[in-house]
Amino acid sequence: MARRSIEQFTGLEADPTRPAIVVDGVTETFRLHHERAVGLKERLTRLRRGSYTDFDALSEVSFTVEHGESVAVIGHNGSGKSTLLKLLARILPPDRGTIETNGRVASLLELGAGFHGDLTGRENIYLNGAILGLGREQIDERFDEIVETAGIRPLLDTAVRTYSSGLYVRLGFAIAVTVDPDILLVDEVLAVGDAEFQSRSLERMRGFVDAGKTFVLVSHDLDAVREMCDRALVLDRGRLAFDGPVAEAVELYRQRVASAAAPRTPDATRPVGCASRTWSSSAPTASRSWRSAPRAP
Amino acid sequence: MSADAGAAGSADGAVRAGRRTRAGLGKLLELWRARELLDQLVRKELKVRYKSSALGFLWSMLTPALMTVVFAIVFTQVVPIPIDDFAAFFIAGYLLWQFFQNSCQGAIHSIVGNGDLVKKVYFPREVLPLSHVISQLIHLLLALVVISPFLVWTRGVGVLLHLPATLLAIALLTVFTAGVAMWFAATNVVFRDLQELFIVIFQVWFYATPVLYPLALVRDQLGDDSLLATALQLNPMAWFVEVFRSPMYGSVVNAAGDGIVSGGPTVPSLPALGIALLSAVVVFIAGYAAFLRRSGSFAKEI
Repeated sequence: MARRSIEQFTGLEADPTRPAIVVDGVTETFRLHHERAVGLKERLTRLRRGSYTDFDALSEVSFTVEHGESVAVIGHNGSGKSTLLKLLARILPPDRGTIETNGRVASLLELGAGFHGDLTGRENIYLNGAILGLGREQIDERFDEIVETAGIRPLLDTAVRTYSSGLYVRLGFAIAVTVDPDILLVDEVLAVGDAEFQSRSLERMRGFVDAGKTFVLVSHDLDAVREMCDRALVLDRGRLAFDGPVAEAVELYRQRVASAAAPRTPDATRPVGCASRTWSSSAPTASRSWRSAPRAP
Repeated sequence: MSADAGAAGSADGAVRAGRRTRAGLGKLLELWRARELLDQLVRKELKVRYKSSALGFLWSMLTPALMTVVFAIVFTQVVPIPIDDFAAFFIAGYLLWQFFQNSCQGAIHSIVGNGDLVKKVYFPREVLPLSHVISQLIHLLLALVVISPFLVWTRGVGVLLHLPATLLAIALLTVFTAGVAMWFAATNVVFRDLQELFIVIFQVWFYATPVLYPLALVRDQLGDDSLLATALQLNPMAWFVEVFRSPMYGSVVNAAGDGIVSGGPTVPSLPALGIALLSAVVVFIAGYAAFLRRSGSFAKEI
């Protein structure tokens, strides 16, 4: 292997010899406390009867993303999509398995997270930029671009608590897209804002994909998914149910939604018409996953 | 973080050691890269605090000033403590204490209070408690500038001549405070009662630190080997106050036969300096380690 720089060594700079993302056997467990004991009194009184269930938000998930791939993650609510994104963004560490990201990662999980209402738009641009990992000079360089994208020039020196929610999100987005990472993780942020904002943000992301960067999108908007991504992962109750071309994944997901909506017996719920090679490995998951659907008596 | 978790046999140990080195290196590099964020958070802290008040920073001088007046009346008129310039003696110790307490108080809420941020964005979490320590440090330095004319007037120019010793004492206390603050911030995430206990802990800790009284007085009244004098010396804050007060006020010693004697500003004694240095390093490493061990699960626990 060629000598790597310190920044490549620590995963902060892209190393083209390694894939962009390697997820290997990752399990993430959440402990659901039935009555959570957080204080001293509860701890003392409930010492012996703390009841909880462990719930695997993700179990044994493995996949690899190469540089320049654009990958969508789709699945029902609670299927583990957002948890997966948080793991990739390093907000959560994996409980089991390993995750390797190679290059600078930026995540758009919530726009405007970390804004402080009492500070002005100008001050928040610097604060939020720093939270996203930008240096002062980098923000100086991009300042005008951010202000133009967000369209907040007249309100630059007004406290952001007086901004409308649309403006707030627009400013958050404008800052986030200037980060220019190697790997961009986006979670459903397109759902907010008006139509103009949505088309503009889609355009920015398309530009990002066209520039050959690695892109991971979590979305329920299947049209956007189909348009933006080449490949899709379907998550089902924390398991990877499908990994392949986006058209097949969307088709599969649509069928699952349709079959979940109609009450059936568990046996009849196995989706038909999807590629058998992708189903052979995940068949047990498929049958397990329908337990939430209403059963015939 | 590496994908070769399955590496077996003799290579396993080397791989693990390599990974640990890489993780440590990455952690330090990451904190260095986050300096801009730390700077912005400190600015935010200072701006938000004084944004809409006309007197601004002077408000933070109000508490120590009032405390000094009240305690000076009580301990010179009502229950006299045999010490020169009680007001100067008290405020030199109290500013230091206030820095410590306010830093910890800000830090204890820093993770829990920023739940949205911690759950949605990745950044080295230690910048949250550290930003409180640094903004309080700026307060302390400003406060010292404000009270220095008073100290020079009462204790002589020696206060200014010993400035390097004062700055050294502040540097050591900052390292110590950073360790304690990170411990409080991380522990409060899993044990929320800590923020309720905080006031009680710091009340007791305040009286257990020789801010109001000189340590020499305890030794004089109860003897060098008394239980109380020994117990007080186990409190690291006692040593920081001693080290800080020597150049700011002067040494207070137990002269044989003469009782308590207050000297002019001087360099801190080497043993006191050594104890302060040692506790700063040990507490910082322990606090940072405890913080890092827990920081992974912050996003789950909040």
